[in-house]
Amino acid sequence: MNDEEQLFGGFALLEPSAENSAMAVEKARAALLAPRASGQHIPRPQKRRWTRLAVAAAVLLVAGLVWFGLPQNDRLWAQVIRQLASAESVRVVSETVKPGAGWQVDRASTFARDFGFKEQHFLDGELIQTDIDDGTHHWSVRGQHKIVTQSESVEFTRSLQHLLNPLNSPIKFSRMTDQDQVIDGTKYFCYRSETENHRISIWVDSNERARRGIVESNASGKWTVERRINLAFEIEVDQDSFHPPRGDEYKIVNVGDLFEELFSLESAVHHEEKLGYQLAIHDVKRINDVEYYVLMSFRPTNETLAKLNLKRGESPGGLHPTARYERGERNRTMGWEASHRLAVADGNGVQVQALLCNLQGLNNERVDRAKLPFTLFAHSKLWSEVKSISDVTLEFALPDEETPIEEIVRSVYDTIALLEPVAIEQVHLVDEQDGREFVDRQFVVGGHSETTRQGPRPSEIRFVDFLEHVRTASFRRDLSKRAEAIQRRKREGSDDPLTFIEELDLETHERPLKWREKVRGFIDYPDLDVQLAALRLAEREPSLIYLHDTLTVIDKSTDERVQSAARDVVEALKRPLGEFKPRDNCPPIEFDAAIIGGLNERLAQQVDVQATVATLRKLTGLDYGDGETKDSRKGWSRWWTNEQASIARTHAGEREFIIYGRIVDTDGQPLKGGSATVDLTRSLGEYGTLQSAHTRADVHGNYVLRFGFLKQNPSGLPEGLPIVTARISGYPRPIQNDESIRRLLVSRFNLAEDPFLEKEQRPVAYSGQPFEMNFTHHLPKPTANTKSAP
Amino acid sequence: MDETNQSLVELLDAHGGRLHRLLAKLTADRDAADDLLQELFLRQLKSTAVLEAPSPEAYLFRSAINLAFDWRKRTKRSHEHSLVDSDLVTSDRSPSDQLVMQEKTQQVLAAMDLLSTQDRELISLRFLQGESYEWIADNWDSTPHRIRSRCSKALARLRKLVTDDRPISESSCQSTPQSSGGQP
Repeated sequence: MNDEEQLFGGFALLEPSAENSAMAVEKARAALLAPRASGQHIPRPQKRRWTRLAVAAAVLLVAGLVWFGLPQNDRLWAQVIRQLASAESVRVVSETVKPGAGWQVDRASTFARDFGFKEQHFLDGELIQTDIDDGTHHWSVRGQHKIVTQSESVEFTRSLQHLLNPLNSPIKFSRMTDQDQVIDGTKYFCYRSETENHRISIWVDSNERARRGIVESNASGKWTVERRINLAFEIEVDQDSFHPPRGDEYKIVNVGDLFEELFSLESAVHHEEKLGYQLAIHDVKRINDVEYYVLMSFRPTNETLAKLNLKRGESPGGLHPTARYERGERNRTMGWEASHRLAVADGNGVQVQALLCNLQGLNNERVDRAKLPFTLFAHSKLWSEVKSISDVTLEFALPDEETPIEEIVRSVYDTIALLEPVAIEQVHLVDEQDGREFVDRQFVVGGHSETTRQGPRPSEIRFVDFLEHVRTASFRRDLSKRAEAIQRRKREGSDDPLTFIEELDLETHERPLKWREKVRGFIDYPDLDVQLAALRLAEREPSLIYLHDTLTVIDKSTDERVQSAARDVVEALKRPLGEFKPRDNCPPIEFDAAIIGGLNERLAQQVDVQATVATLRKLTGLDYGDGETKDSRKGWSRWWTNEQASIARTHAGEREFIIYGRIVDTDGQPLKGGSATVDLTRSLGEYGTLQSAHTRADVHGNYVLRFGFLKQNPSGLPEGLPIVTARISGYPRPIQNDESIRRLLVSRFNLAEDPFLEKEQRPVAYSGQPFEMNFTHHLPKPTANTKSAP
Repeated sequence: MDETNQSLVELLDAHGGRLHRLLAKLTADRDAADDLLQELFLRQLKSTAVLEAPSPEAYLFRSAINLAFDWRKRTKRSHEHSLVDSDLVTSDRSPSDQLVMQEKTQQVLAAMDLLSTQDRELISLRFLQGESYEWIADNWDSTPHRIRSRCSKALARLRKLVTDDRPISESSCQSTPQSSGGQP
C-alpha cells in the first residue's frame, strides 16, 4: 500500500452517492433561481433554526408534495406550487398503508394565511407531535404531554422560499385522460409520472389546483398504492385551533425565559464580557486536587447581535473550551483543560455546557483560581474582527471543599431534568469517547423533515446509567495518574502484565479508538498474562470489535483461566447485543449447473446495465431487490444505483463471478430486504476494501450478485477474496448495541473449479453469530466475450 | 432570470456534482456539504468575480475549499461525531476497519487545517478529488511539472503533520500563538 492510499483511502467512505450530489445541485439551483425582491438580504442557508422550520411551517409542501418528486422543469408542477402559495387556506392530509392496519394518517397540515400553520404528526394512529405557528409565536406539543414550548415564530417567507425550492430529479408528468375523476361533482384531470417501479399520479382541477395524489409501486407487474394524499383549498378554518392548548393542566414554557431564569447572569458565580459574548460560571465544584465540575454559559451580547443583524436565538457561533499548558520552573508544567463535556444545552441563544475540567498547578498542586481557556468559532464577520485574539481565558475562584462524584452527577442530572421542556435537538449529553449520545436529532432529507429519536428524553435517562457514563469518562482521566504508577513500577523492575497493557493505554489515551484496537490485538497474545489483562480490559468496556477474537480464544485456548475470562467478555457483550443464538445448519441453495452456464452466456452478451439487470431477473426467476424498502424515491433510487454500480463494475472486471444465496435467520426464515454485499478485501490497500456488488434480498430472502475482480487490483487475487456480508438494516456504525453491525461472513465457499482461490477459502469466521448466510459460489464459463479463470 | 443567474446555473450544472463530492469529503457531513454548495453559489450572486475569473471552474473549486475549511473552524466541536455520519458511510466494512479509517481520515482533515491555503487546495484537488496534474496546471496557470512538484511538497508536509508523535486533537489543531503551550 502506498502512502497516498494510507492517507486518503478513508475518504472513499465519505463519497456521496450520485443521487445525493444531484439533489444537492438541485437545491443549490433552486436557491439561485428563487425570486428575491430587489436588495433583499440573501439568507444564509440552513441555519440551525431552519431544521425546525420544516416541522412547523412547511407541512404544506413537505408533507404533501415532496413525494410528488418536485419536477422542477415541469410546467404543471410549477403551477401547482403557485396555486398553493397563493391560497388563503389549504388542508393537506397524507396517509400511508400500515400492514394489518390499513390506511393511516401520518400527517395532517393546515395553512391559513390569516392565522398561520398547524401540523400534526401521527405514528400508528397516535398523535405524536403538534406544531402551531401563528406568525408571532411557535408552539410545540409532544404527544399527550402537558408541556407546551413556546419560541419565536418561524418566518413564513423564508420557509416558503425554502419549500418552493425544487429538490429532485426532473421527471415529467404526462396527461392521463382515461384516469380523470369526478370528485364532489368537479372534474379533475389526471397527470402521471412513471418509471419502471414507481409511478405518481395527481389530479388537478381546471385551475391546476391539486386535489388528490397517489404514489404506487410496482411489484411483479402489479401496481400497489403506497401513499395517498388529499388537498382541500379555501376551507373553513377555526381560528382557535391555531392557539396552543389551554387549560390548567397545560404548562406553557417559554424556552428563552427558561434559559434566562436557570442561567441568569445575576445569579451566576462569575460573569464577564469578552469577544462580544457574556461568559458566565453558574456552578463550580471540586472533585479532587485537580478535577472540577463547571457549569458555564455564554451568550452573544445585544451589541453583537445588532452588529451581525441577528435576532436573539440565532446563533452567531460559540466559544469552545480548549487546553493550555505552560511550563514553569525546572520544566514543570501547569495546565488548564476542559477534559470532558457532560452536557450541552442551547436555548434562545444561551448555550450552556457542563464540563469536567482538569486544573492543575505546578507539580499537580492545588490551585485556588481557574484559568479556563476558550476559543471563538463564530460568524465570519465576528471572527474576522477578533481572530487575532480569538482565545480568551475565563478566570474564577475555585472552592476548597471536595464534592463526591455522585453528587456532581446528580447535579448535572437535575439540571437536564429542569430543561426537559426544551424542544428536541437542544439538549445533549455527549460522550465523546465512544459516540454514545443521549440526544434527539432532527433530520432534514431533501426538505422533508422527520424526527428521529436517537435516545431517551432527559427524564427517561436513568441516573445510574448516566453515572456509569461519567465513570467511563473518569476511567480515562485516571490514565494520567496511572502513568506515574506505571513508571514507578517499571523503575522498580516490575513485570506486571497490566503494566504492559496500561502503557498502551497511556500511549493512545488521546485516541480511545486506537486504544480499543490495541487491546483487541492483545486478546490472543501468546503471553497468557497479557492475554488475561487484555480480556479484563475488554470486559470492563465491552465493544463488538472484541467479539471475533474473544470467540476464537474460547474455541482455541487450552488455558482454563483464559477461557473463563473470555467467557466473561462474551457475557459482558450480551447486555448490549442480546443473547447469542446457537448456530443452526442452513443448507445452501443448490442451482442447476446448466442454468448457471446459460445465465453466464446470456449475461456475457449484455452490454447495457439495465438489460443485464432485466436478464438476471428473467433467467434466475429471482425478483431480487424487491425486499428493499421502496416506499420513497430515495429508497428505490438507492437500490437502483447499487444495481447499476455492481454491474458496471462487472463489465470493467477481468473475471466475473456470480453468487446466489439466501439470507435467513437462525430459524431458517427468510430475511426480506437483507443486504448482501461483496467486498474485495484489501483491493484498495491495507484497509481499502472495495465494495464490488451490493443488493437486497427479495421477499424469500434470495439474492443474486454478479461481480468482477478489478484488473488493477494491486494486491492480486489471494488478497482480493470476496467477503459477502449481510445486514438487516441501516448502515454499520461503531456503536456497541447497534443491531445493524451484526456482520455475517460467508459460511461456505464452493471454489472447486478454481484451485487458486481454493487455497484461500475460509470457514465460518464468526462462530455463534446470531444469523447465518449460506451461498454457493459459481464461476462463469469462459466465453468469447469474457475473460475468465486463468 | 438575469444573465448572472443564468451563468451561475450553467456553472452549477457543469461542476456542481464534483464540487458537492469534494465538499462532502472535506466536511464529512452530507448536510453541511449540501448547505455549503448552496452557500457557495449564493455568494457568487453578490459579485461577478467568478464570471470574470480566467477559470470560473478553478475559482469555484478554490472557493469551495476555503468555504469547507471555514466551516470546519466554525463547527469544530462536532467533527468527531460527524465522521461517523451514517449517511455518508456507503459500504459495508468491519467495525474495526471503519474505526481505523475514520480515525485516519480525521487525522488527515485535522492536519489539513494546519496547512497553508495553497497546500490545502492542492491536496484537496489532487488527492481527494483525483484531478490530474494537467487539469490543475491548466486551471492554476502553471505547468504540470510544477504542480507535481508542489503536490509532492504539500503531501510531505501533510504526512509530517499526520505522523507527528503528538496526537492531532481539537486543542492542538486550534493552537494559536496565544494558546500554544507544551503538553505536559
